[in-house]
Amino acid sequence: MIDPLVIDTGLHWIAVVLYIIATVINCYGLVFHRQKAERASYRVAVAGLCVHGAALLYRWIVSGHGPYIVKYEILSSDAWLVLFLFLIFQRMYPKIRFASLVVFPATFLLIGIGLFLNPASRKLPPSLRSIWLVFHVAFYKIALATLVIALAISIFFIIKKRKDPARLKMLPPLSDLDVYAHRFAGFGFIFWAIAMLSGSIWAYQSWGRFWGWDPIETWSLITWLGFGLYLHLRRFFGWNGERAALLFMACFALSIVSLFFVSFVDSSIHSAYFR
Amino acid sequence: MVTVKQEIPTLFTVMSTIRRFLLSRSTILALIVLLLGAVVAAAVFPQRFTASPQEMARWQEKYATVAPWFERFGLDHVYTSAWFMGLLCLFLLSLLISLHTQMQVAWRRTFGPGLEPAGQWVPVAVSEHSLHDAMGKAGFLRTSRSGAMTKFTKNPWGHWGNSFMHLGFVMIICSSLVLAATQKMGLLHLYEGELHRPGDPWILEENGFLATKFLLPVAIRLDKVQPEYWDNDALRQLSSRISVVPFDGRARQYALAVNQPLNLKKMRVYLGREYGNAFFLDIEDSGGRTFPSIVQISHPAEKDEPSYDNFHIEGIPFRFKAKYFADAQKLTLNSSNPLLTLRLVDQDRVLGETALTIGQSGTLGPFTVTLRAVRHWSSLIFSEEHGMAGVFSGFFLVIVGSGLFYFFPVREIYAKREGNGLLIAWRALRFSKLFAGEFDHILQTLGKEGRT
Repeated sequence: MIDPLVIDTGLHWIAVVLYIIATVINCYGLVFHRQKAERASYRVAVAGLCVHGAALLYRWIVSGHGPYIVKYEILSSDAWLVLFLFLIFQRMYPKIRFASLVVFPATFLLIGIGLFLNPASRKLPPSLRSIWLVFHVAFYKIALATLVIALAISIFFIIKKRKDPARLKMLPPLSDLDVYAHRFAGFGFIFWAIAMLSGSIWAYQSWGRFWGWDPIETWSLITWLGFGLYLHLRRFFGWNGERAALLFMACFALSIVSLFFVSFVDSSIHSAYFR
Repeated sequence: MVTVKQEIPTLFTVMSTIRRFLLSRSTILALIVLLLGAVVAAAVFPQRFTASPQEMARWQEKYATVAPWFERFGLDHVYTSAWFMGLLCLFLLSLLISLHTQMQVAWRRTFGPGLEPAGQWVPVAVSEHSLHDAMGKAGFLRTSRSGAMTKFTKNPWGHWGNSFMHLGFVMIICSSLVLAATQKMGLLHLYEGELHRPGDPWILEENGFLATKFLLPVAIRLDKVQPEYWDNDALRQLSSRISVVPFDGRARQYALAVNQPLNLKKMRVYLGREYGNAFFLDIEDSGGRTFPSIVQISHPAEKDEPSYDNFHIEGIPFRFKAKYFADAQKLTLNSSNPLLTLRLVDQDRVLGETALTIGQSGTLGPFTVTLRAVRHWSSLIFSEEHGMAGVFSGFFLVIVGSGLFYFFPVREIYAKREGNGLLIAWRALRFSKLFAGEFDHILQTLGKEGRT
């Protein structure tokens, strides 16, 4: 009988290969204005997404729990959701298709990092058995996905502002980029709030406190307040353009620290997460 | 000679100035930055309520020059410091006043005639009735009509996003304060069969500053602790059965598990994640004096690794060091035959060591120790609180508010009669660039006559 881990990682490698092919075709299509190639890259990416989704589903069934604990499964599921939501959003807002230049590589890089870490699954401790945990994790992943899209837009805003705009015709006008960055940052802010709410309900259900000033909780709140500050400055102080993009990038870095690094720094009630 | 008449400020002008100050965008920005700074400070500096006294002492020793300032400004207990409370009250006041203003604005924008848009007015050759139908199909509702002007709005509820968000923040802060003031929490470590009576001491008690002492209304007995393990020895589930023993003595049993709390007489009872074995020891000295003791030690995480603890027994001047394996044969974690090893220590000198299973006796320096029985113990958390519903409702309102704001951007179409025809204009209150094509689409649907 084949080791389930071999099937799991094998499927992931197939997905990585498909994503790399999609990225190459996508770059070619966008840079050289070949719409056919760009469309083809999306078909390959969707194929990768299906294989990747099958790998995650298989792992979920074998391990008996969702991708909440091990770095490999967390990064892989984050990558899946980033791409999945991007594919939906780019249909709703076709002008953001250029963000694939960041989203596609981010997807295979996240899985790649996961594959080089220990992919062995762990058993779910009793404190993590709650439907609220599922919501808690899912909404952080959705928030991350929208923030990655906003990051891609902010990066291209700065590039377009600083470089020759004539050579970046594939990008929408700067004013449009600015509005899209604002909108996706707003989505991220909302989903981050929902993730914190579901986490606090889970905490209350588990040990009678909705908030315990645990390091991960605290840094998550700091990140949320940071995004709140960014949105407030945009709305009421006319912060837009490059300085808003730079502030967003700083807030995004903070969100990465909260999601992936604070758990290493300090012991916490989230100690089972990302270890 | 010129006389200068100085106007004495009335209460109204003072209040207006305070209101303007609290509603000022700069004040709100400063408050957000200060709150953010406070949370960062609490995350960076060790806090008394999370760090142990030893950790605090180590930090103070390491940063001896700044430590006195650190304490003076309450940076070692940010969330209970006077300045943080002041900041929170100021923020709350600002939110309350802002909420009032936001609601007025939302009401006016939703039901008022609105401001005539500065954009283009386009003539359309349709009747008012057809315009109504077309607007309805495009998702625009008629929200006001004054004189010759009619206003249609898409997502009029989007106007209420800010109000909901502000109301949510007000509810969270108020409810958290109520919770912090009135919450009572008590921690118990009970072994199977142990009864905790009302008024017996807690292992740990945390009461809000307005709360009275936390007394259980009934006696509680822990009947059974049931740990379950995965095949790799990781804990799968921890459950227990407790009995509520009222004064008349007729006990009623309840089931508890991690993540499955119990509502009991206005309290919530949680099964903690800590559990282990309670060892019933009879210690006898050479003079025949006995020291019956119950020692509770946390459960080992692995079947071939012990867990450790140190303890003192009243009347014995030495320290006991204990370790135990969940199973004497080290074959399983779920065993009723653990192996306890005790070491008697005087300062750093070891006076004796013995290993015991149930029913065995051993010599430990000048003492004879018998392991009489072993039972499971587990931690139970009791909580009585008011305000939790407010906290969660507040969270919910913040999410609904921000959702309304970002997911339902408001767009308006104004129509006014001119001669025999109609002029219409469109505007979006937010993200107008995203909906630039909407007006053209509507005009196409209406069959536009031509732009002015």
